[in-house]
Amino acid sequence: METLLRLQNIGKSFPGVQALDGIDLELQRGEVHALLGENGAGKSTLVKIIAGVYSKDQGSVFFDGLVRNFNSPASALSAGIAVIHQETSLIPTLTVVQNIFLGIEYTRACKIIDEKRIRQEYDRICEEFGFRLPLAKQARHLSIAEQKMTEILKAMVRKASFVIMDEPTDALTGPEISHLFQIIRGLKKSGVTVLYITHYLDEVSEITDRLTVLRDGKKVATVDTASVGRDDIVRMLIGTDLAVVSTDALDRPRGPELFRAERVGRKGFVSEASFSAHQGEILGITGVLGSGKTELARLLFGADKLDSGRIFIGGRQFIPRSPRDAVRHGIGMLPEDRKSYGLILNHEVYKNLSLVALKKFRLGPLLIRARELEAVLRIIKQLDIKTRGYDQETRFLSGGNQQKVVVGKWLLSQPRVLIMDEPTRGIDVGSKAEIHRIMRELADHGACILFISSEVLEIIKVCDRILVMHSGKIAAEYSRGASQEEVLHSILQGDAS
Amino acid sequence: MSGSGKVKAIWIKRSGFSLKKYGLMIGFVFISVIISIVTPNFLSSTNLLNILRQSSIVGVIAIGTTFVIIGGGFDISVGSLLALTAAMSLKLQQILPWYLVAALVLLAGAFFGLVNGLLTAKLHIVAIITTLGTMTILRGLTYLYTGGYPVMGSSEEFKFIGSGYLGPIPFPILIFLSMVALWQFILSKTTLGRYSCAVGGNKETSRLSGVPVDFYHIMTFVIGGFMAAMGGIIYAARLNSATPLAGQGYELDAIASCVIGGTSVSGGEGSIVGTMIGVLLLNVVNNMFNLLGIQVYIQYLIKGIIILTVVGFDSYTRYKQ
Repeated sequence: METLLRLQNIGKSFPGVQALDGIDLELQRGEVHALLGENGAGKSTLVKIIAGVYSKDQGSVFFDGLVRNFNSPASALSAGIAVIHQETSLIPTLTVVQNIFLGIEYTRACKIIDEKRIRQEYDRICEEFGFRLPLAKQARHLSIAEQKMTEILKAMVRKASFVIMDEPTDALTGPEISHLFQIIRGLKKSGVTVLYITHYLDEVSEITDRLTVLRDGKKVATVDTASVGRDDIVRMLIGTDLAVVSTDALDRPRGPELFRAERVGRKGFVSEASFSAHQGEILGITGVLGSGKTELARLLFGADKLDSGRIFIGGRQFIPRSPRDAVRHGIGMLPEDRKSYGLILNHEVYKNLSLVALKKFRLGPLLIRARELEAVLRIIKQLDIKTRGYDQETRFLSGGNQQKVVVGKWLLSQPRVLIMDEPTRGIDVGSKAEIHRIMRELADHGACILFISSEVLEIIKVCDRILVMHSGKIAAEYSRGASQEEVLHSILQGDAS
Repeated sequence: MSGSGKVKAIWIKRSGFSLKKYGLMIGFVFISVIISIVTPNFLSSTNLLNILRQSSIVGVIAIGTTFVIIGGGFDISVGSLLALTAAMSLKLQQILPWYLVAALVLLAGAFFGLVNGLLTAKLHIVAIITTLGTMTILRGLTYLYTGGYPVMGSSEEFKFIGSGYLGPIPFPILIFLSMVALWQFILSKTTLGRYSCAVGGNKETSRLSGVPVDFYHIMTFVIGGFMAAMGGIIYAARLNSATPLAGQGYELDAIASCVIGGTSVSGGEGSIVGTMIGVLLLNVVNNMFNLLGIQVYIQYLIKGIIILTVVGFDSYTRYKQ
């Protein structure tokens, strides 16, 4: 077999994190290769380096026998590397064919588009890979499976020899997955190499030839898929030495029940989630992307409309109709995407901090600036937010400090229940530990924290109790002291181990 | 932990005025100085008061427009609204005393603003299209209301609003300046102002922070309509006549003044004082051309170039960041 892509000693660091460390990897022509690792293991960083999104700090990339330094996704694509992202990158208003040939349309004289030739090429490529799509349909009307196939065809007409698929089966149904696998086998037959990123281990054994496991930015191993069992893979993912994780959560007497959700649901996202949480408790909610954990958080906070169910807070029934409702009832939420939904990036730090609790600082319609600043400065000090001044624009802060601002704005409103959706994603280790400390402090002061994270290790370390979500349902519950292996099993398989 | 020391440091490092505001001020002063050198009459008190008076109608409207743009919206219906409210101000005086008329007209302005706001926030029509529609409707209503003829005649007290003097200072200027002070205060010192900025800055973040976003979004349009009606009253009182064509293009002057004054077209930031300087800048340049006896048509070119220069500079520096 011939080597298509060779990575040599690839390293990449971000402020405070060594994202990749000395990665060596060889991919053969025509193989399907799984890239596995927990969140934060370095998968997406590696993919971004291969695809020209990030530049590497060290090491070399050989593609098709040549040393390559792709400095943009476009240059990687023109060399034959295509990435199919989790989110579609198709233009919703263009048709399937228009999307496939976008930017490489055949033209006649005067730049007139040669529809006939495009159609012929489309037919040829469909023939080659053995599937067809409704070619005149607008991309926004396609199912997710059809979108993926369109993107595959788009890569193929660009003569891509290497396709990276990031969680391609997310949100696909069983038959759609089998169809996708058929297509992948077709690609393989034509000599295309596929790097397949997934969380689902049964997919790995079904479709891939070899697999590589990353952990904490380092390569654990590359092995033939047929030579390893599922348990071996799980062990490689989490590391044998980490089977028992020490928890920060001490044995605390449980407070009284503060929060209860009853059969909360939203069609297609969350079905009948019921659970309760106690005063002083950090309740972890975990699961893979698309398992419904973020959706559940948004339902509890009234950010999305719920179809069924109700919640109780301090014994009082309450159906969250809007975030404003939820805030009034003492619920707060740090949304998953802090830049888009947690902060007003162009606004000063103090304005972001006081936004939720603004009413506390007013006298009639007037804002009492002194009172506002006093509270803001207290929070800046308490959370040790590194900012040049309280009136610095928030976009200039580092990720960790931005997240502290989001935490701070909720602290000022003193919620009884605080939902935190991936509060530590993408921030450095130091800030992460601080956020954990703040969470525990809040809980010790009688709040109840619903902590959502897809990082198993973190969940086990921080939480008093853990709920695992799978396909929109709460699939398992663990109390303190659960092993990483059991939790991971539930996350991937959707049942209690 | 040197706690108190840290807090103090934060206090000291407060950066105060942004460079952007300074830049505009410096530019304005610079242009004014040049003009006063080139045109000797420029600095006479009559001329300066003249500039201020000419600025006051568009200025009052632009205050409302600033709120709308800060809240993430856009309003091109204010010129038509000025025509309708000006006509109402005069025609209603045939049956009602002037002060009731003024109050009614302001209410009507707020009402049409409310309609703009409701259509934008509840039906999710893009604001520029909402107000394109209501702009056309309001102009049509004005024609229907006036029958296409100018409306004339008002009481002496009412005329005072537009052409009276308090000491040496024309009354419209006083209205304009006091409105600048009032609305700047509201913008920076009240929850209404803060929430309007927040909603314009990031609607989803504001919603997820428990802010009633639709209410504040709509309120900015209400303010826009209210201030347009105030402009209509001053217009009617000053000219003692209102034609159905009144106020055409005022909405664009108002928007131009806002963006020259540093209001971000994407919402969330801006100041009333900045808008005032924007209005004055446009009028000072106009005034210079008048004094120098340069053809009126050139003024359009210059106005356009000023807008592109100021906004272009700002946008490009932002992009570079």
